[in-house]
Amino acid sequence: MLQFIKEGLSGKNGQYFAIVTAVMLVAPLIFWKLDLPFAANAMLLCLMFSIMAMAWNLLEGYTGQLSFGHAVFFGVGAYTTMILMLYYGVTPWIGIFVGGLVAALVGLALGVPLFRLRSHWFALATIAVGEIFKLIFISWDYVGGSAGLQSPIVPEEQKLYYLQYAGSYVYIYLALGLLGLELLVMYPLVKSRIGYYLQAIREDEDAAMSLGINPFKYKMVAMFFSALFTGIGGGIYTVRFRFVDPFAVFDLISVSVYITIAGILGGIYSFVGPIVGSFVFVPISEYVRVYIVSRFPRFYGLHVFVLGVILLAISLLAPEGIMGWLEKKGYLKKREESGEVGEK
Amino acid sequence: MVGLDYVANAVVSGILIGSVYSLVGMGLALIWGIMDVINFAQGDYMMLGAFVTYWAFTLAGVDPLLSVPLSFLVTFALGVLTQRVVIERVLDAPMVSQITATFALLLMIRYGAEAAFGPYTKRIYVPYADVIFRFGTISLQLPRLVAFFVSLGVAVAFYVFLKTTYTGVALRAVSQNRMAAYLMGINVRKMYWIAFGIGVGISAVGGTLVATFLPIHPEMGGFYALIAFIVVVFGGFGSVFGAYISGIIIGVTESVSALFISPSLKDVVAFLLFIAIILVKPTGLFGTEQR
Amino acid sequence: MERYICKAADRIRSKVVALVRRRGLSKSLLAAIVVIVVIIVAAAVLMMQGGGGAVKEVKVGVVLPLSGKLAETGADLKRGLEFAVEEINNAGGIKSLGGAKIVLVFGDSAGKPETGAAEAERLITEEKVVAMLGSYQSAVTKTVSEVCERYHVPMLNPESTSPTLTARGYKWFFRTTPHDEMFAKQHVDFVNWLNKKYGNQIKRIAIIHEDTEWGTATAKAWQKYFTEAGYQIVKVVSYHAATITSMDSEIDTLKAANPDLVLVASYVQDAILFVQTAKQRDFNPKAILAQDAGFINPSYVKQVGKDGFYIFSREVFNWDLGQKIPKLKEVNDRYKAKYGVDLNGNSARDYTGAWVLYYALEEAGKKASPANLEEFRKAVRDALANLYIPGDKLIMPWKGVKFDSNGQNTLGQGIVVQMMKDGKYHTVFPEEFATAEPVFPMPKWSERG
Repeated sequence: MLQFIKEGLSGKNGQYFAIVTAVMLVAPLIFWKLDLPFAANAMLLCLMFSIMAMAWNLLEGYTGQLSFGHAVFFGVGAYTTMILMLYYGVTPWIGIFVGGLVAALVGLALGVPLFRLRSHWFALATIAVGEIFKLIFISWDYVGGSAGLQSPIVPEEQKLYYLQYAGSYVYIYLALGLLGLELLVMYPLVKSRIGYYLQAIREDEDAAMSLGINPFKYKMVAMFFSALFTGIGGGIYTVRFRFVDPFAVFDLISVSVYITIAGILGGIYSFVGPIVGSFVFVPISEYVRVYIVSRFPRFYGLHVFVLGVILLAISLLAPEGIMGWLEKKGYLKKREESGEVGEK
Repeated sequence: MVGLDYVANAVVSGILIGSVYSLVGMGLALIWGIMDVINFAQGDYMMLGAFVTYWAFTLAGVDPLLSVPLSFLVTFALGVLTQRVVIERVLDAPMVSQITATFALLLMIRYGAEAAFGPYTKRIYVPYADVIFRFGTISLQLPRLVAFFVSLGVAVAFYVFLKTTYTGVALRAVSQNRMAAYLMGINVRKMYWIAFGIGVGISAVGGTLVATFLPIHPEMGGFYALIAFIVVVFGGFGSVFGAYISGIIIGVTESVSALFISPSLKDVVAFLLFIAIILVKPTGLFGTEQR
Repeated sequence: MERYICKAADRIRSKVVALVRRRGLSKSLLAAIVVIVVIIVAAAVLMMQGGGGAVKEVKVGVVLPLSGKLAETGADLKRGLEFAVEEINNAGGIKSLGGAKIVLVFGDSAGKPETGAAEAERLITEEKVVAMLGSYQSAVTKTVSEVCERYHVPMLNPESTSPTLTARGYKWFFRTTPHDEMFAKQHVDFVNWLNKKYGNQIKRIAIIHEDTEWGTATAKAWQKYFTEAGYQIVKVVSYHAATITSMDSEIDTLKAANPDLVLVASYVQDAILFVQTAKQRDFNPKAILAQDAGFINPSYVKQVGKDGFYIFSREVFNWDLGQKIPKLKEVNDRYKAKYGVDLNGNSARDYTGAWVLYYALEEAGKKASPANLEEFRKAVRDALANLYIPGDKLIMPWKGVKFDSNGQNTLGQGIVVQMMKDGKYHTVFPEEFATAEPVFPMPKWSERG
């Protein structure tokens, strides 16, 4: 495992990684000092979507299963963290991971019936599942129904235990840490035999089967980690806003579709593609929303329209996303050289 | 519990609204059948049809029924354009590109309309909106009855088109065996344009009809798209007229089940039904095994 | 603050110098650039602090649904606020602060709790507002008020009615409007009164409500209080306001339950849909009683036209109260002259909320200055906690404004109005404010012209 990490961080890649990490660590401090909550919020969103899009991509880029239903895992993770915190006084330091685990289990349970479906059937089914979860949570009193759940403000000495801080600044570091953890887990995973098998399944499931690879088993592995980290993303949401309701966390467009766009925009065949995608599309969407739509509420919907345009452009012109495009133009070292596995 | 007369009313209601579902579903089935493309944006072309009718009515006083050909033609043209510019390019691309391309269209059409027309709900009031026929406890609002007959008419016209015109026959040929059709001299590319155009055009007619008795809104497409998917899956991806019939069935099911379970849960039932069908019998009730 | 800037500037400077040595740029040019940048940054910092002397304006933050599905209501609320602030500023502003003008700074919640929270943070930390107003939807108010509580910024909530908002033990949250439990109790009073007047015709009650927190909480309160009062709840139907396209099944379900009275909790678009579908499906309960929101919105009134006749609504306010409350008539005339519509429950509550905040600002201004933000915010908060405004100073049919230890105004109350054939709502209950006799039972659709 360590060997993979050393390989991945060698040479130019390592330099980029170091610079980016340094910037990410310093930026929140600057935002905090200069009182720039918008920038901090945007950065937190970028990081949250990075975590979730990378997790999502485990199913799409590596296994070829396009999901429009990741809001389910996000929502389950968010609610689990909130319920543990609110009803049982469990610290989110544990709760976030439990939330991820519960989401992973939900993912496995969903995988059993749904992995029989290919491509667009699977996509359609995931949309339906997302909506089902939303409707169930709206009518379910234990989780607060449509009113959702809000955690009370805790006294000063419990702030660290409950991770309750004003603004986004502290949470950026939390998200960075979790993103780092995700990279540590996923990189060896995709570089290993399992990663190869997943890509084989993506390319041609039948051929893979004939080679003795059990597609279902490996899809489930991918689903486990995919749902796990998306659920962790949900946990971050809970501690940041301290309020969850079904309309916010199970939303098709602002969660599932955004995650999908981040992944595709960045490049589904690239390991860090989803991170790049998040950091490009979130600022654009937020900028349009806050500076144009809010100023002119008559044009509500414009920010999503812009996202649609971006998604269309990517689908038609650069289906391999930003990272794929950069590579084609020679700005990045070819992946074969740097050791990543490419696509067809 | 619930009286039989309420059930009868619900059945009739369901048939009437189902005829609109049928149109949207039929269009989706056509596109899928001919080109093997699932048009995620199907519901949004329907919304465009509804808005064309709205603007024609509001700005020029055009009766909604007269605007049926108008909304069909406008959306047909838009559909051909879409096919030419977008769909063609992803026909042979990996599935993910097809899905994201049509999904992108969904976002652009739906939210572009919202940004352009405003996020407000609009209504058309036809002069005969208040005319209601009553047979016992069954009430039939005239606009819905009219919509039903127009929808039936469109279906019949489409059937005739497919059976008798050259283009219609050519379309069927392409759906059965693309290569053979090509070898017979049919311009497959043009057929695809026409297929997509008609597919979304029919859907737009559904939008026009709905606008005569329900409020319209830029985001209305989401609901109808979902219904269309259920309709098509239920009736079989290969069969266009199977889709029409299953649209009526779905309409009745939705209407009757709402009497017995909470209306807000009826959506859950619809979704579960959808998943159950694609798991169990993906070719649907009337479907034929696809190439 | 300045210390940090200087230190940071130093660090930047040495880094830049190091860079320069490596790359070989002209040193003096670079030094000039650095000096200029430092000056600009320092000036910005000093400007942000604000001068110590006289304060010209006092910023108040407002978070409302200015875009999205509730944009029309948001616009309504905004008007009420702006009208009040204009009045206040024209009358001399905050006199205890030397005539400082109130400036409203708006944030758009777009109807979402997270967006509202983010906007609140922006208004508090970037715009440095002294207090917050908003946010209509209870779910958004929940998160916005949590932000305010955390940052120690007083928040005045003129229009959210979920009872849970004042049950959280917050010290910085104040609500002028009565909440849904109070209103539900009043609904029961009204129905009891109708029954006494018209011979006990209402026994069976059905409820239809939108399914976010507001509608659900309202429905729960209704069920609780009406059952306690001996009525039979025969059906409860809920729906999702943001996505509903047709209410046929909902109305049919209600019809099948054969209620005498239907209680409705809807926003604007669904209210319109409800009325029009009821007409289409020929649904004729003896009475329909709504819980304002959508039903009092001018857009609803306009679109629904004569189909809205004879529907009752709980209201907090009505234009015809001007006949009983002189101050109201005068304000409404001016409002109508400016905006072309009468005040309604939403704009009136926000108008009142702005004025209540103003009284608090006046009190606070005697003890502290906005130049010291933290102190001033606390002073405003204390002023609100101790505030008493007698009913005759308000345009609302309230006994006054006085907040209990949870921040709830205990002196408010609602009224019940009914839409009459002139297309306007007339107050029918309580009797001391009534300007018309109620029409009961509601004429059937087939009997209306």
